[in-house]
Amino acid sequence: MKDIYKSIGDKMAELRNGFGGKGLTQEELAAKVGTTANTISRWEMAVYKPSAEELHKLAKIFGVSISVFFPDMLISAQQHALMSATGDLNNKDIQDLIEYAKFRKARSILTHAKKQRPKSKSK
Amino acid sequence: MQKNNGQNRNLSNTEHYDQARALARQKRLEFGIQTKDIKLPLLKKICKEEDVKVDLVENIGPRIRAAYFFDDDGASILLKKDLPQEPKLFALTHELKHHFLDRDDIADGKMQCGDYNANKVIEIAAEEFAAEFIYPILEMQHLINSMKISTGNCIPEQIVEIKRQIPATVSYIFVRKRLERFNLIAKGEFSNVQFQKLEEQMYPPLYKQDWFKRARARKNKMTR
Repeated sequence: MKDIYKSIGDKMAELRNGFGGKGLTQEELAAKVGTTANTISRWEMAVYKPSAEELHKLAKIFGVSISVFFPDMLISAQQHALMSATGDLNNKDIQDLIEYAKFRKARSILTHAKKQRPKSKSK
Repeated sequence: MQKNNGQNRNLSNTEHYDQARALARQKRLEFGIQTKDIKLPLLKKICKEEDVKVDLVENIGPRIRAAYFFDDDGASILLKKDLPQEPKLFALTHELKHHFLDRDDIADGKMQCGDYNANKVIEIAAEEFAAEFIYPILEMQHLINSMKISTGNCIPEQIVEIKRQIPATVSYIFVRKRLERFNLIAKGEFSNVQFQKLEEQMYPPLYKQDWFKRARARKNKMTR
């Protein structure tokens, strides 16, 4: 099985190179994320392990769902959740909840992956 | 994670709400909580002890305040980051009730996200839990008695005084609902009153007081 961080790194590089049609440099992406180009490079090379929060931030910048970094992620259409809301939910509310469900799934996948690969850095 | 007691589906609605309030009192005792201590950091600490992750999320849909998720990936609560303090505290406590009482039904798929009508009793029970957990009815009853409040003198200014005496972090809506429960005001009475504004008129905050404005103007002049 392909290493999950390698797969995330490859996707990150693909999204960065295709961003807006002409792509972003690692420096440009780093500025948007609020990190260094070195970190971006190491995420892409799977030397550093991005957290679910960092992937969420990257997904927002690229305008995609966090699930693009996890091709095998399965999310049930009907979430097992309860909530306090001020009324019936609209499409935006439901989309936001689904995105959050994907985020927590991503966090869970990364937690398990980290346990299997304890020696590398988690920056 | 241990199995929770779950909902007893044979209970009447009233019994469900009584059960939720009793659970709130039990949890206060269990965690050794006093009303004045109930703030966001304390609730986050309880969540941590219960192995529930709390994620403060920005720019979330306008109608969502919070949501509780429970499945193979564990328990987590999405909490709208930009909520004011009182509703944020209330929403988080509301979700904690789902964790304590409803999580197995959620994991089994008996309750689905957004299905408000089907979950109405459970949601109202969570509101009852949150209200009792944050500020027990009995404590408020003692306060009301000590302030000698009766139906006749329960005017908006008096409600401001009550809120200022309450040691808990609660909203004016919370206070109004409690007063409705005590039959001190009619349902929906004073719903048009802007209590926050009224409180600022009665007790101007520091930055709105004349001496403070003058002192700030002097300071600004000196630093220019």
